[in-house]
Amino acid sequence: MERGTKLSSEPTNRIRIQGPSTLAELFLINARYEVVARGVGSLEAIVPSGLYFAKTKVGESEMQETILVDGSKTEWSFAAPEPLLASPVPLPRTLFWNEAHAKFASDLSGQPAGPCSLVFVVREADASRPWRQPGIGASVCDMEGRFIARLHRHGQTDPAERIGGVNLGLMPGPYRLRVNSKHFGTYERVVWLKEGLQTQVFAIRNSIGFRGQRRRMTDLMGASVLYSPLHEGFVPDPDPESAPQVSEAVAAALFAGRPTVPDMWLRESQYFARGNPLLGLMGAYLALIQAEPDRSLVEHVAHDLTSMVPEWPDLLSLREWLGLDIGTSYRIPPMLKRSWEMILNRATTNESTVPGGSLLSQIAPRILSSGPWLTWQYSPEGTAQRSESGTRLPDVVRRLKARQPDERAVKRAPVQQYLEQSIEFSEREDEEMSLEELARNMNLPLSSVDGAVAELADELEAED
Amino acid sequence: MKNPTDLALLVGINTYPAMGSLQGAENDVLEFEKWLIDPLGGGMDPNRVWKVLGSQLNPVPPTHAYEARPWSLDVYAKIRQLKQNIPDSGAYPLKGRRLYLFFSGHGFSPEFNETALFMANAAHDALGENVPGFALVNYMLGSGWFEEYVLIMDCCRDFISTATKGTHSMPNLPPHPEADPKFAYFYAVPQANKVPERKLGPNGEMQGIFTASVLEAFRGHKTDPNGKVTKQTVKEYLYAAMLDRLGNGVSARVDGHDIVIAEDMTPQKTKVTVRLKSESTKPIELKDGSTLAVLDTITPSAGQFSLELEFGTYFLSQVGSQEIKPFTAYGARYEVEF
Repeated sequence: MERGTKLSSEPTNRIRIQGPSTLAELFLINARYEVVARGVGSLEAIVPSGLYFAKTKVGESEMQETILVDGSKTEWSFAAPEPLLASPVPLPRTLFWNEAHAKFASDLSGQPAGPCSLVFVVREADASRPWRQPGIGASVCDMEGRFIARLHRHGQTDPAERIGGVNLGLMPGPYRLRVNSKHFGTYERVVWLKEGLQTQVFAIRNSIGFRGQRRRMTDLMGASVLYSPLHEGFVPDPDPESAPQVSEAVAAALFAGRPTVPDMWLRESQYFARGNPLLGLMGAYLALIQAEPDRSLVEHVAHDLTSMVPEWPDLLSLREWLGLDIGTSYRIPPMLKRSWEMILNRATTNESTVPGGSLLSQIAPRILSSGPWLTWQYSPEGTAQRSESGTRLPDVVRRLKARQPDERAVKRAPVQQYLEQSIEFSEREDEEMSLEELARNMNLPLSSVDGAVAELADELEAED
Repeated sequence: MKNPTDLALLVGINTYPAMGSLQGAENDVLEFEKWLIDPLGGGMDPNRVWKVLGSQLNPVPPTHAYEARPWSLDVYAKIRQLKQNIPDSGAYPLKGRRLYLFFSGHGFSPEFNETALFMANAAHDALGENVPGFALVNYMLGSGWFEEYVLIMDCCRDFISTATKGTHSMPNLPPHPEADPKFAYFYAVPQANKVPERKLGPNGEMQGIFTASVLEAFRGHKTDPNGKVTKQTVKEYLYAAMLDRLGNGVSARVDGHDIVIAEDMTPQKTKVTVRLKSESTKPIELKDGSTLAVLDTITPSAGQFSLELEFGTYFLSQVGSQEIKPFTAYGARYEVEF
């Protein structure tokens, strides 16, 4: 054998696979089911001849096609239609696209209102479902929880098209969105309004619950938030690189916890941050979950937004991640679940991060686990700030530890149940247990545990 | 005994008064237990396989959710038992080589990398009654209790937006500086998907299709070139098996460290039966999907023929024809129509 002769003559093929959309994750899998190449939007690889599977993934929807690589063909594209994003915003090229809904939202949002405005639209995406009263149970409240507007009373509706909404002229600042359902109770979220911008919230009615007990309600947990210049209103732009489309794609990627949007789009979210601060924030959070977080992008967004929306908790938590001193505490819930997770990291050990008596402290035990938006179960909050619970903790621990297991019969609020279990599970004696330890164990802000201990102490005394 | 210090916590719940009951979840536990204590499988001490079964905890079948067990405290009580009753090995708090956590029942996915098993007492007004598997492993991970953690969850991963992730409220374990644990997790489906049960048990009993597939993978239907069953070989096997068995374009979710599940395994073969749609007697070529090499040429004489194949993708084509029939051989038996 001559020197330089290849010992193995394994044939190689340069191939290219075009995904069904720019957002599609692509995987090339060999006949032994080993992933041999990956890409977003499209994929290129050099592989030996063989049978392969080209798999594409958009959000959690997946498709797979079998391809035979034998040198006779070099390019493949998915024959199946593009998987569509399940966005509650009536945007072209999304799963719940509805032209009449887009027109309703455009018309509603185009009406002049205040220094900044809040548009809240609820729509029925499934045409086969009965629609009794558009927007029933959905409302806008101030930060004290007082009603500002109920959609079915103060808004406009189009029963034929199954859509309702309200356009409110309001002062800049945070507001609470509330949805009440007779089956599931009441849920809330916060949205921030910014002078010169219109905040647009879109929710669809969805089946919530599990197995045979599913009920339709306005899905506040999945409602999307967009921002646009005040007099521009909602524009159902079909361009996949327009601000609303990029915003929805970035929100979906943040929800899936996967950096599945092209890098270019993350950079564009930076650009859009000036007209849509939330998109800038979501882009920055998405950059943080990349394998190698792009600190410069996060710094750029934080810098740009500091002069625009300095008091937004989502921005403050990002600034703290950058190591900047924010000089304040968190009293109002952020809009994004990711922001809350970053705040919580500090709040379990630092009492001043989330002050006792604040709305954030009170809702912390009732936050729903699914993201990307921070949503919580509503409960009328107390107003008194509790601070004496540290001194009552030894007494609470003593009482609980002295009980027999079958004495745990009184029904308590979930946070108190967990507190009770946490104390019972602990091997520490009453005088050794601290609020700090309980906060770490329960993964709640110190102030929330402080309030729960005080309430539990009251209840135990009443039971005696 | 190969692995005397391994420990397993298996939870199976069939009866859910408020959610609709299952038939195969407890069978899943019993079948997984068989593999754990099999000298050729997990090689474990049977006394270190701890089970939490709904049928054992409810002397009378419960009719109301609030009285049904197990509830989350029943599961966490086992963790407390582990903490208190399994002695540490000397100064280092090592309680064993590996911990298996195997959960089967109804579930949901509160976060993209989390799966939570609903407890028997879960209901619309008690959706927090669930045990999140990932969080439970995370709780123990840094403590130095085990060198390896294997989490297997055979349950749906519905997205239930009104549910909250269960909280265990056990005192945090102090992190151990020498702990360098490995962790692999095996979920039946991606987030927002369901997984069914079918009559896949050894005697036709109901069983989760995920558990059945995991056990095939653990028993060596796919090994690496050194005869090892690893997280990676299981992941690749499950991808194929679950894709075919679910039939809706999605498959299992597996991630984590490449833990070695079993060693010195001889790859199990699949009996593939090819049923012929036409009566043609033209020779048929069997080709290896990895190399396109012809493995066999068969001249059919009856309406079907059989092959013994290792896990992988193959294809059939009639000699001289461009048409191919790809298929993946997996499981004990597989049928192809050609």
